[in-house]
Amino acid sequence: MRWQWLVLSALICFMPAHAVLDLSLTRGLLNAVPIVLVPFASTDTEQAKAFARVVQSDLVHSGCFDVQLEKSPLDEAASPVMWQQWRANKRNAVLSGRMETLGDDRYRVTMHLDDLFGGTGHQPLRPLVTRSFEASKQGLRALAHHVSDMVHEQLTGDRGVYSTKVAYVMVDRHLKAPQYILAVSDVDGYNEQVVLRSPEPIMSPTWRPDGKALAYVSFEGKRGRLYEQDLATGKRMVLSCAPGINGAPAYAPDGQSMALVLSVSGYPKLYSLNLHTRALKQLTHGWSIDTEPAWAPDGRSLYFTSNRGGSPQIYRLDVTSGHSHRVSYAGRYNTSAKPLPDGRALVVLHRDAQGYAVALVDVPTGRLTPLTTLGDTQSPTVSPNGRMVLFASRLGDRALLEMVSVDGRVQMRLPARAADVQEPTWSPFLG
Amino acid sequence: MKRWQQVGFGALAVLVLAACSSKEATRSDNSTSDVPAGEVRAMVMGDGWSSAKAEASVGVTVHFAFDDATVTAADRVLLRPLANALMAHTKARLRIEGHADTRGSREYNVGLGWRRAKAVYAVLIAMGVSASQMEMVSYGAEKPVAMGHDAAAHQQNRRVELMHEGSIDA
Repeated sequence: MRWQWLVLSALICFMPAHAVLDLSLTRGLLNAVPIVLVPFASTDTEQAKAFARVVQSDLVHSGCFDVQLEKSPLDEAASPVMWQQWRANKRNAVLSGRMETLGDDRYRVTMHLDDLFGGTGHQPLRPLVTRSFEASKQGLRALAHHVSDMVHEQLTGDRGVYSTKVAYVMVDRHLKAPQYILAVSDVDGYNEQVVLRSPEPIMSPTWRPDGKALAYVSFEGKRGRLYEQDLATGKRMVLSCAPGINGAPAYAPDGQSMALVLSVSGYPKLYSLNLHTRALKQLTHGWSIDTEPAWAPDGRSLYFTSNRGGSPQIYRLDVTSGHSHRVSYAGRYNTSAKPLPDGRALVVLHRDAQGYAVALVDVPTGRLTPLTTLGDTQSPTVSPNGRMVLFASRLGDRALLEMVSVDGRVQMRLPARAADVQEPTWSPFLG
Repeated sequence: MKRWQQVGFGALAVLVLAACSSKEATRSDNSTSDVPAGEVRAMVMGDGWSSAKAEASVGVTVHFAFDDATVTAADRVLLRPLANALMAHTKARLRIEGHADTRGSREYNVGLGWRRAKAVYAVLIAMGVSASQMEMVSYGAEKPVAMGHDAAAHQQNRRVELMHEGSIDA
């Protein structure tokens, strides 16, 4: 598969191809929607094929689709025969289209997503989505992801996340002293860009709700401080540099404040920082370790990790009343809560005697369901459509990223890099 | 450091804000990497950012049991000479660095490292060392000394390291 990725990147990305996250599916595909993908008709057949492969890869790696990629565009005369064949093979829908070259390295791309069933005498296929776009050669990859988003939404009812990004920390231990790198890439691993390079650790990257900045902890100067860095300009500012811990930043959903952890009281506690006035308010008190604040989508409560009961568990703080109550009860270790967008469940990191696993906690009942097998797992992050969890894992000596669907059906491993990869964080829907 | 310990919690917000002046951000080296304009801009920290003060290890590392922050009696014995040296050299400063093993939540591990640093700090305070000579930091799981993933490596990583500035030799 690797050579195909290199051809793809040379044609579509003007950025040099890095070692791309080639996802290898580690668990099966049940109930995947079977569709046919026909390369768009074009005088630029290479570009059209490359475009089709991006869409194919997107849809297949979601675990939601079984994609039959045709070798070439449809011949009009042969179409009815092909449709019959596809219907007989139980294919539900077909994606096809045109890619016209407009000169000046610009293209007009027209897509047709059609239902193979539900047609009438006049219209053998039932049209589902018909759209037209213009793009430069450099913009074709992003357009392919947008087409994948539309196909995904039309056929599953969920918003696609093919146009989203991930940020993560890499630790290169091959040099005399380790180098820490904060980077951002497309969710399929393309277009990796370095945000920060440092000789000291970087932790807990998190996206600002508008998708334009990252907050993170950096240990430059030998102690942890909280920064916010604008992604387009690289400009950054210090959000917190109190003595001791400045950690676990979490923007409120409205972007007006940020929850964070400080140890100025003597113990790690949650605080809320107003991002305009810079006023600070202490949210939790006492002698326990309180950390990992994570906002409920309605911004009215904050989940967090605390060992106030003797072992680390998930609690929920009601922001208005200031009261906290425990949410996780299975076992003696539940941390790293990340609420799903519908607010009814949390993804957590759960530990028992055999190791650590990503698990789902149903908020109303507290019931816990593991999504992965126990191992050396940490740092789960949820896609903005609430369907996929990206997390850090280990295979032998390599630290790498894996993904699992929230229903546990699909799991895939992103290939190991030369550097350790850790602390992934999934962007919101962008643009 | 002294200021923080003497001020009540009510004035905390003001002091926290005052300490983070914009100077902090502009001191960094804002060189751009080979990234096209309009894309993400990188920041590269040079070695000049590391503390310029000469720091040396005290030569004592305190270790901890799984999920625990208790300083053993044996380790207390090891800390006594350090306490005496700090009391004899009041200009010397000590950095107490707490660490955790590499498993599980990274931010919770920062909390564990903090509790361990605090436990060692408390022992030294009880032995008579002045709070103004000591600073605590937690690196959580971010700076392991043992790269393996077995019980032995985890045991080595659950530790407090002690760095001193200024002479504490007799």
